[in-house]
Amino acid sequence: MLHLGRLLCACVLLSSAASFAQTNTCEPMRTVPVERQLRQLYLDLLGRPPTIAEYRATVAKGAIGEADIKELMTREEFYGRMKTYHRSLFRANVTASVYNNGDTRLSDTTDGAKPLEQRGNPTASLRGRNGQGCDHFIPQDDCQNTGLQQDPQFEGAATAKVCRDLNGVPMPVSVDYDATIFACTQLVGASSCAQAVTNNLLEAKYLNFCDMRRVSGALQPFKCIPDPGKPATAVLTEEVIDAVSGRVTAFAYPNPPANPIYTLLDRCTLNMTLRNGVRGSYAPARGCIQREGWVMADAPFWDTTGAAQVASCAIEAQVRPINPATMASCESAGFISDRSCGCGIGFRRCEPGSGAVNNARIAAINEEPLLIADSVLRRDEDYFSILTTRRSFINGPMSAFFKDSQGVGVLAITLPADKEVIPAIPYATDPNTFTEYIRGENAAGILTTPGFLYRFPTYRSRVSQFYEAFLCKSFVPPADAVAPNPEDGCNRENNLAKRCGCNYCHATIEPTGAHWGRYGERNAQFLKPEVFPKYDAKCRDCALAGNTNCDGECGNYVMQAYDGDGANSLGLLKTYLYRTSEEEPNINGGPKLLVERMLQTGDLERCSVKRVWQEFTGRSMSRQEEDMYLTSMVEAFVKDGHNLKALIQHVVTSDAYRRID
Amino acid sequence: MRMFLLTAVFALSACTQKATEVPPRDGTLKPVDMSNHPPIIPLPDPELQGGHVGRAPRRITVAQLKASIQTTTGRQWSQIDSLAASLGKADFALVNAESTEPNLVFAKFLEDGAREVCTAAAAADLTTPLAENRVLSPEVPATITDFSKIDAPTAKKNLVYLSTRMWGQPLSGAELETWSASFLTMAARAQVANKKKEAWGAICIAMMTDPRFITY
Repeated sequence: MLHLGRLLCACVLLSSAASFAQTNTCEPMRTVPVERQLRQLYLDLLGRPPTIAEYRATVAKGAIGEADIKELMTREEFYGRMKTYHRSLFRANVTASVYNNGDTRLSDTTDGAKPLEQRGNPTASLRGRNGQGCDHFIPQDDCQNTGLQQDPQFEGAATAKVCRDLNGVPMPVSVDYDATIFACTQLVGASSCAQAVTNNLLEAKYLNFCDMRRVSGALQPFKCIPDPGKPATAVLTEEVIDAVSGRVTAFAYPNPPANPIYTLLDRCTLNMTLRNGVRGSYAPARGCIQREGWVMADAPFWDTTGAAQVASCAIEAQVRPINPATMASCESAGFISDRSCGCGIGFRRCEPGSGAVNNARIAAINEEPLLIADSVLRRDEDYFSILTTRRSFINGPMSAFFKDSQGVGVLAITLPADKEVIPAIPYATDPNTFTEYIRGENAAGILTTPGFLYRFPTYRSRVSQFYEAFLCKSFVPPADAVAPNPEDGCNRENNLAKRCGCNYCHATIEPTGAHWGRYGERNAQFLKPEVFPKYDAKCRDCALAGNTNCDGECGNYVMQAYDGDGANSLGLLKTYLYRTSEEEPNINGGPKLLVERMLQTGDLERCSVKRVWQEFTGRSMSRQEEDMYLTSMVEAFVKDGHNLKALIQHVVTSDAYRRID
Repeated sequence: MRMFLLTAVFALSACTQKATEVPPRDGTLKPVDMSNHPPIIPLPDPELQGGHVGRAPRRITVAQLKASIQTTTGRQWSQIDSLAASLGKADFALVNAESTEPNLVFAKFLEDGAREVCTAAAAADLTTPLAENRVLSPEVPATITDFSKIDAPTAKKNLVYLSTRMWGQPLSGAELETWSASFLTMAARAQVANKKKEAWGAICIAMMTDPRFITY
């Protein structure tokens, strides 16, 4: 059989040569039976096998014609199948690429007023320890209510309490000793600290360290002293007693060595300290959990209950754009640790604890490039529009994200178009409903979508993906590449495009990566020239002054020098470092310019043909097949205006596809 | 390559016989008049590409498996989504390539799935009064309740139907005889055990775990 196959191959091969002119040949190659061919086509084009009725209809017809294949490629199942193809090609999943530590998520609570509250690590800087919420039982603006006072034994008169500072920032309304530092023992037999003293359960001098804590919803007195079971606090044995009241006001280390963990632990109060003495920058007292109260606030954007207002911790319910005392912005990740910021209007800066909002955004980001490719396919447009088009699609979660400036500190994505151009779609709209819109002038198909930029977070990985997916090339040193001598000075060259050994690949990667030079790394931000100029004197001055952070404003600029080029480039936008005058146009040309250049080489077309061939024949083209078929298929692809459906039709009607292997 | 050249030379002589008007001899191929045949795309040399000249058979993906089970049995395997990653489905975040290896894990899980859907389909058929509405035995008259008493032609007719539905390759010849004999044996045992649904259910399981179902 094998011999016969070879014989037939040889016959057909030779038929193309001089002998074919004599119109003599062998019997044609046997192809797959019609039922099997139909199953192949259905599984490949629609992702499912034919039904028995479809088998019978085709068998009755006797053959599968080009019109039948064209008809298959109009079905919704075909577009679903091609979405799968593009998901694989684009690796469209940023789930593992977007870092969400959950700090901005608000937990639902179950006691007291059941307020929404954040309980992540940042609560250490708000309330004194991580995982701590607010006081669920005291309304923030009723903090002077004597009947609600938690610790009258050391708080003083309730009417003297300060609910908010001069800027309206909520202050603590109750305080507990931190049980990780203090050992707290319940004073069983008393319902208050005063009663505990009366019942001789507590010496009066310890009233400042008597803490009313909630047990099963009811306040119970506890005596809290520095934990004697822990080395760091066991040494705090000296009681500092106030001469007037006769009460212990602190525990001190009698003869502290150099740099002990604690030298003194003060009594807890409702007063906060100022971090580094900066007004408006509050810090909780050490060893104390200082809780603010709750308030009613407008319902969060993700709320589905229809309630106009919900209970929320007073800090989270704030809506300020900046800290009124320090003028620090609340629109950065730091808002969650700033007592003055809060979650914003409609809790736009925060998320529900379920993670549903984050999941919806990630799903929409993953879907966007697939929808761009799908739209090109459905409209029979030039296939490479997927790399250049400004058309895109947006759903409720992402529309609300852009329109309402949501997701602060989790997703860093520049508006894809002016806000008024982005369709206004309510968050609650079915997330599977996407609306078409036109992105800004810098948009280049899938290459500037958040899905691509987050999935491939550095300009080098973006180049690598572009080469692999669309040019069918990977960066591998040539077979005759020589590793440099370790003593060679060129090993110390900072420019990878020149460093010996590295330059095999990076001589291409670095200037090509400049096409993404105006896109941030590890985010999806576009660095607008008017905001991020090529050269920033302020950043240079900071760098020269040794302030490499420059208050967080120069992260995209060269702030440290490792060689002469670097020293001359301080204050230069990073992407311009080592770029020659010939390469600099790549930066402002963006990915679109790269695609235009690659279209002129023909590499994009050749790669697309190879990929479609591999997808449908289940194997890559051999070198001989490339010699025999590739050029003609590429020419046909070009002639068809880069129509992907026509290319697929070409492949599935080829002899190779229909032949039994 | 040497084999290919020898074959080519041999083929050349075979293909050009008509031109020299030499009458065909035993063991030679008869040339066909191709004057009205459309242009033929030349074939590559199989030896230069690992023996492949056509489409490479491959295992269906998890998505294709899911669609295949639904299309062929009209019901879905309840565990397929939870087992998708084990069956080879890629998430394109951490796993970038869909695995289409016909490995033991896939075979084991598929057998579980085939048992679930085929048993359910066979049981549903038993309560479906109209034969043409049955999934696994539409060619068996509804009046037959004892499958062990099905005559061989009827069994074969249904087997051809099922193999077409499942594989796109109707059974025929000696293989059809073998499957028919196997079915009648199983049907007799199922009747004795009073588990009538296992007769066509067993055939369904066998076909769903056959390479012709999971490859294409």
